[in-house]
Parts: sequence; structure tokens; C-alpha cells
Amino acid sequence: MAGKVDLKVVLLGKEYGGKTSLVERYIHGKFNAQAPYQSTIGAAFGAKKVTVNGESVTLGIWDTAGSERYESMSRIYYRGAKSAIVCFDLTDPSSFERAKFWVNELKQTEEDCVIYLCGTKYDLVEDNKKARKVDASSAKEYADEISAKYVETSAKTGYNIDYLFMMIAEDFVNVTRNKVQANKDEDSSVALRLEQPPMNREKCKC
Amino acid sequence: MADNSELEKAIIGDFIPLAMIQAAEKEYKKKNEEGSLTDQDRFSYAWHLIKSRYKDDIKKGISIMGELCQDGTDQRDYLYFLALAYYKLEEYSEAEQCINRVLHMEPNNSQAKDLKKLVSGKIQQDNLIAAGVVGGAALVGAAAVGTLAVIGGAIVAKLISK
Repeated sequence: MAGKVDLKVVLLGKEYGGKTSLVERYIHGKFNAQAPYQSTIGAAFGAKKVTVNGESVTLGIWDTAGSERYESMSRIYYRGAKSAIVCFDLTDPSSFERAKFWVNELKQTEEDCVIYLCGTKYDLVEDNKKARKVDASSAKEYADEISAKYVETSAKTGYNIDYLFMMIAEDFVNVTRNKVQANKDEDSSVALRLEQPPMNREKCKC
Repeated sequence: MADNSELEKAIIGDFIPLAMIQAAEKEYKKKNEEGSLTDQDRFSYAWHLIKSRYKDDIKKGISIMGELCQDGTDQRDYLYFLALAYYKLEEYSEAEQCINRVLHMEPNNSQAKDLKKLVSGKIQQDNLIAAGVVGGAALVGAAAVGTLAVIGGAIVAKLISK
């Protein structure tokens, strides 16, 4: 397992929405269609190291339990998260409503957390349009409204899974870089200001 | 022995800040006084206590979670957190009993398997230490006997030479 975590990512969403399968596919490259459904106990942690523009980033991923009994506890896990994947099941409209609940929670408590809205189980709706209960355009519209990115994934086929996490890592690196750059600019302006007093003093001599 | 330190950090190391535990306690006491305490409230409070870094909190958490576990229908989660709590108190055989019961219900549960791995690692470590202490004691004993024998031998030799 990877060492120090650079970027904390939290997954939130209704139970049976496919969060654990998403993480399982991403970290272990596996999907077991035969395995019986097992709800997550509290939250499960996983880590993966990725390289963005030659820079190594360790993602620490908290896969939270979607069961309502853990609702009040999930706050512990999204506290301080820099990115959140809010999941809903493309075949379950109630899960989309639940996703909105989580988005509101995040907006209230974690202003700086970047949100990714994720429609799961894409394989189930790919060839069967009737199975789809949340259409892509309204999901996209909602994502725009909350300034989130929208992606549809399938843990079964692997569709968009790596893409999603790479996007998260890239956004993080770009934001961090910008911040570092901004800090540098600030430092140099401080340096300029510091250089000024001696000049003034020289002027004062005469 | 497998290095479980990363796994341990992830599973055991997510401590809850004291302020959050105190908030949970306030809520619990308030509801208790009102007489409106539900199993969900008990579970939530016990969970906060078990995630504490302080042993007294963890022990209190075990007692509340333990009561739920006897009455409750969904024992899996209770047992998992009991195992976690006992692990944090370094009571590994109790932890093992609880986690084995979870694995009995869901043999492929990866969270339970990970915790079991940690518990087994600690039990193995304790056994090695115990074996080390016994082995060490035996060595010390043998050395003492040996020393006595040497001293005895020297005295005898002296007596003979006289």
C-alpha cells in the first residue's frame, strides 16, 4: 500500500450505489459479478499512487457506507477531503436525490472540496435505454449548477474509472501548482517591499 | 512477519477529535434524559467512543455496543466495531472472537479479513514474545546453574588442593 497521502478523496452516496465496486475496480482492477452484495461497515480506506506530469500523487480514498445508519458518522470522513465523488445509480432515481443531499452537506461544511458527480452502473443502461432512470442531460445540468464535473462509470467494464481518478489527480496537481505559484508571487512582492526601505533611507540622507 | 503498519494506520488510526466525541456525548445524554434514546443513538455514540484515542472512552463504547449486540438483529456491524475496540485495548483474543463471528456471517468481507489479519499478526507477535520470555528465562536459569557448578567446582578444587 502507498505511504503518505497527498490527496484525500471521499466517496458518498446512497447504499447499493456502487461506491465500493468503483474503488475495487480502480485499486485492484477487479469486479466480481458473482459476489453477494455486502454493505460497507462504516468506511473503508484504500490508497493508490498515480503520476501526473511526472509528479507522483498518492490518493487516499475513503469509501463511506451509504447505509443511513452511518449518515451522522460520514462527516468524520469527508472532513478535510479535497475531492469528493458523489455517486448515484443510473437505474435508481432515489439515489440521485440522495446524491443531492450529500452535495448540500459538502457545500455547507467543506467549501473547498471539489465535487465530482458520478453516475454508476453505466453497463446496465448502455444497451437498455429503458433501464436508465436518470438522464444524462439533467445530471449534467445539475452538475453545472453546483460547479461539479459529471462522469458516468461502470465498475463492471471499467468504463471511465481510471479517467475519473486521473481527472481528480490532475485537477489537484493543477490547483496545488497554482497555489504554490500564487504563494511565490506573494513572496516576491514581499521581497520587493523589503528592498524599498534602504532606498528610502538613502534618499533621506540628503 | 507481514508488515501491517500501513493497514493498521488505515483501519485503527482514524481517531475522532475529542470535540466530536463530546458533542456525541451531549446528544446522547440529552436524549437519554428525554427518554427518547433509540438504538441508532446508542450505536452512533458507541461508534464515536470506539474511534477515540482514549482507553476509557473505548471501554465505555464496548459496553454500549456490547448491549446492542445482544439485542440487535444486525450484529455484523456491532461485532466489527467490538473487534476494533478490543484491538485498540490490546485484548487480542476478544478481538479475534468478534471478528471470527463477522467472518462466519460474511466469509469474503474484505474489511473483516483486513482486521482479522491485523489481529492474527498481534496474536502471533504476542506468542513469539511469550516464547522469547520463557526461552530467555530458561537460558538465565541454565546460566545460573552453570555458574553455581563452576563456583562449586572451584571450592571442591580448593578443598582438594588443601
